[in-house]
Amino acid sequence: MSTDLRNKYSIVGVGYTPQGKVPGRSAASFYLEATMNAINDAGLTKDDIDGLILYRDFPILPGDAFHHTGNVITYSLGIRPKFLSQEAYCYRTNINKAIGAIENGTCKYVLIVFAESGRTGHRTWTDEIDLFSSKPYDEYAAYGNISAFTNYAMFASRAMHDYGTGPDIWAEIAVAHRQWANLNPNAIHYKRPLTKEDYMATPCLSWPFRALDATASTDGGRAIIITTTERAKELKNPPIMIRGYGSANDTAKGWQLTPGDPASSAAIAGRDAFEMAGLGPKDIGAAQIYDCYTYTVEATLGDYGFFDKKNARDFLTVENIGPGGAFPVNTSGGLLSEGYYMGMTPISEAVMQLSGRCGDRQLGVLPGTKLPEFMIVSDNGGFYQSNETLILERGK
Amino acid sequence: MTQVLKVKLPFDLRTSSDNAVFYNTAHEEQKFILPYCNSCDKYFWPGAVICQHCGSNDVEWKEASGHGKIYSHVEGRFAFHPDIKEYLPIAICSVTLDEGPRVFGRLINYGEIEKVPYDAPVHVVWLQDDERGCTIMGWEMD
Repeated sequence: MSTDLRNKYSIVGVGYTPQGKVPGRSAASFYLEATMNAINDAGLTKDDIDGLILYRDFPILPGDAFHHTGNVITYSLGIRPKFLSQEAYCYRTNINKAIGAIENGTCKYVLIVFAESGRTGHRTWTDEIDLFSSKPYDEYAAYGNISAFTNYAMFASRAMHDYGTGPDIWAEIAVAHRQWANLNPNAIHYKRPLTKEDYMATPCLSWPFRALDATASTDGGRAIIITTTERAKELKNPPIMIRGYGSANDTAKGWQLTPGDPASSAAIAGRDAFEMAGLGPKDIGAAQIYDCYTYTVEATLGDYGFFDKKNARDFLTVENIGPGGAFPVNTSGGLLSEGYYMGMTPISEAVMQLSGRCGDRQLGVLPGTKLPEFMIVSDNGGFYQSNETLILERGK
Repeated sequence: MTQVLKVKLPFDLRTSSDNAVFYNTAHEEQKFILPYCNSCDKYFWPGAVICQHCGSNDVEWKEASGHGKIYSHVEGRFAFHPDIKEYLPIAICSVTLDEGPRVFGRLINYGEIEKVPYDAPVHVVWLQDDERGCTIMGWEMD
């Protein structure tokens, strides 16, 4: 994105819902609740929302009657947005669309929301197999590859060879996330401590990955609102400004990915975000990384240039990235330990941290930490093939 | 002639019209063919009407070696779908072919997955399921 847009846009509201295992609720109910909570958080009314982006569509689960299309949600909200959008698949376009719709004069306030009832509805993440007929959608099912888990495990497996990563590093990542979650009463894994020994004692579901290497489905929803920084200054929350932004997409299929590829979606999006921000990794005080898997955190921070990929072991320690560490990563507990709201989990936590609303885990309050001026946020889609990167700055 | 192993696969083979030629040829003639571009002399994967390297539509299926090197491998031990349970564990690998493209497959006769060497030379072994009427790629270390 053009340097002219540096800090021109801000995030002004965040909407949460009850989360974790919340039986008896449809995904639609979480969409509506997260949306209204974000609107109330920003001090806006629902009629102010003239752009609505539903993060992406997932197959419906028991308890849902319809696909959660934009029309279903706008009808229930009683709003008529000028811009309405939803991905059918996993490309990361949401921030780009939101800013674009405001920049081109169509919208003033764009709300992005994701919700589902994946925990109660047992979302299986086997997109290769139809949930109701058990028939395959693609040729990989016949080979026995029927999960996102396997594709990410392929990516991580090769990285073991090329960069010397492995379960000892992933255990550090899993435990650091859990320690953050234990400071966050909203987190699904709050008060569920995890040690590296616990991690190592669990079996591999798809070697080399354990269940603790993966996020789990959640019930609940999460929303944010984007507007111009100029308008944001009239609202009740401090504007959290988008200083840098980048997006990129890989060409390979998930199982074909090359770890450490200098042209990976994260590497390109990160480079562009730093360039727009006029900053480099040394300027960044904390990170909220899309952690669908433990190794994704390593791959993303490595591709951003925070460490030499062969020395990830020195950087990705509980002591460095966990509570009280020099470089906090995923301070809510992330997708791994807080809750799975896709890219809404990292971005909402970044906004909450930079606006000082994080309670016991608040950077600058938690002993040994300081509130960073700049935070990097990643969102990646597919199997590490699509990426949006943000560098956020606290408004003065 | 490439070796054929009779197996039971966990699911039907469902592929696209663009890539069906590969699987039909494997099933009926046990031949390993790849999409090939006459304009830039490169192979690609999977089958498509346009060369992924140069964009030419002068593409055809051409017999290839069926040899390559293991790029990455995993071993599935958990039933992400109930219908796969009886087939576990299943080892899956990506293979960088001598001709260039990186393809997918089942790793067979590998011993312990933790000890399988990356970049080990492999050759294709057809895994044929008579009941489902389909054949897929298996890869065995040379």
